[in-house]
Amino acid sequence: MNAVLEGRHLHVALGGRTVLRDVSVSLARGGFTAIVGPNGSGKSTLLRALCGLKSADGGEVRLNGAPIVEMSRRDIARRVSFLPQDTRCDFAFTVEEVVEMGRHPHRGRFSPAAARDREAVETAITLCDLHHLRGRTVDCLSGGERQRVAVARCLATEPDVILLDEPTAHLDLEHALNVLVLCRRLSETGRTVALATHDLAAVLRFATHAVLLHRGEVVGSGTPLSVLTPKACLATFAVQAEVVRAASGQSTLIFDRP
Amino acid sequence: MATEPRRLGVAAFYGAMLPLLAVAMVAGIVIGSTPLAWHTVTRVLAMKLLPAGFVSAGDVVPADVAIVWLIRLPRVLVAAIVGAGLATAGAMMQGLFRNPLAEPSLTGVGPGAVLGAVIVFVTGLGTVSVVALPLAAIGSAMAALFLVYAIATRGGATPITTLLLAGIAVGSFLTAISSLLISLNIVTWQVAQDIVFWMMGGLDSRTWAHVWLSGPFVALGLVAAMMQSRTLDLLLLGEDGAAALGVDVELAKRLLVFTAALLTGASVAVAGLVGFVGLVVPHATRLLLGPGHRTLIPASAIGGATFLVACDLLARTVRPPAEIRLGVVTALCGAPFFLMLLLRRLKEARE
Repeated sequence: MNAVLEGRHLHVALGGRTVLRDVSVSLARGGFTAIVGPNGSGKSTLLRALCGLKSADGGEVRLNGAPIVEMSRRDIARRVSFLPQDTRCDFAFTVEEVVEMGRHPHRGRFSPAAARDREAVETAITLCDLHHLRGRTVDCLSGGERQRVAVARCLATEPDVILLDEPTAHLDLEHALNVLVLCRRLSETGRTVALATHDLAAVLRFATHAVLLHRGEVVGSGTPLSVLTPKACLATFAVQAEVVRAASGQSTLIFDRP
Repeated sequence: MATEPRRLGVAAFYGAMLPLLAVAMVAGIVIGSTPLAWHTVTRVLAMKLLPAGFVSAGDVVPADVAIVWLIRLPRVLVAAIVGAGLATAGAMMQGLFRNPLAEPSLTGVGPGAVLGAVIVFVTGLGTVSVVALPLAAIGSAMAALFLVYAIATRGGATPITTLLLAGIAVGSFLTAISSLLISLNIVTWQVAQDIVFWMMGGLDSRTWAHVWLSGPFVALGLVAAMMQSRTLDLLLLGEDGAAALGVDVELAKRLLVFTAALLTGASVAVAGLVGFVGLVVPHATRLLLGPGHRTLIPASAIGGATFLVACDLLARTVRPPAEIRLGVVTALCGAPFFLMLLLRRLKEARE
């Protein structure tokens, strides 16, 4: 398998508490990986470890085969975009200004935006359908609009890998769907996408891979259907799950209390 | 809901602000207990600033030269330097704390400077040399910052909220020590009065020594602030967001806090506590020009300089020959101005 970003036997402790224990994940080029698990299972920490924001206490992360501990923050930032959970910004930057910040890893400290930078910003704005909002200020956007701006900022970096921490958390159905469709499209055009989410039905529908975390350990990894089995759902989420196949051929999950 | 931001062009801002600063500075030299003519002042300045022999002395007498060059110009320059320093430090702190209500002395720098000054007053060191007070103030301001930073740092990381809380706690402690020293020395009325006046801020009898004590530090701080402007923009996305874009967040925070403290310390050292400049000027500038620090920082510096030169002019002309303390004037002018901007913004948001 052609892994772009790979975590090997990761151990991470936060404040003396083990958050990740011997976690190995491998993000294949062009894959769309969903990282799922209950609250506190280590999803966010795994994403932060994969982009080097949290250094692993054991194990290693490799980007295109090279250990990221030997790479500079900037080098990693050029190739791996990370979208944190909280994308709120109370300062009145315009949408365009925020998207342009995504070019930071490519730009010199004082150099003005080059043609290459402007082109990447335009592409990102187009992909996220932000043309009509580009002059607006981000402090008065709705949650869905703000999330699209944040995704566009990641895209402007033109990274190989995009990691998103619960990008659909506060979005209504339509906007959540837009973000997921966009992620799927990005993965189909050669980007490697991974996101943490609680929306298991969306994982079945859109992701190509799923990694199931439980108490800091990987308890399932593979295609979404093979990972999100009723048995696994009961063991990790403590819910009764039923896989339902719709007339369209799509599978989804229905949940109940055990 | 607000749509397109109503931003003033950068050119329009400087086009209005630079002439205003120049006029305010010359007015600050013209107006005073001994009235001078505008043309006398401009001629003395030209004589001093242009190469020797370029401008003839004309009807200028040596006493005029002394008043302009040795008494009023240093005072106006100190006002401009302090205004620029405090406004820049305020812009940086507001960006760093992601809070438009942050102000320069939050990290214990203000109370630290006060304690240094109070010690100089009660020990009488101030009578030994005019530089004792500024040096003690800036030294103790930096010491307070390092103490706060050391307390807030664990395992190489300094969470911004911890920094804020440590700054408040250490600040309160240092203020308590200052108050203790003041109350122990209240019987010496002259000392107590000196301290109280210093804490209200003021620029009376400032000399070239004060210009050289603050100017280089503020200039250095301004350059450092400009160099960190893009980092400040990125930090407004949150620390994880900035780090994910390649910023070394812990190093950036150290540099930012240190630069802001340098600017604040150097300003407070020569002017005492002057409030509201560091809060109102960057805030108002941000409302006019937007939050991008590459325009905000230099514009705040110019705006702060203009504001403080004007406030100092007011402070000594409202009720001559007595002076109103500078800190009182900045608060009296700054607070209503701030409220006006706020209300206008609210009204715009409702429309």
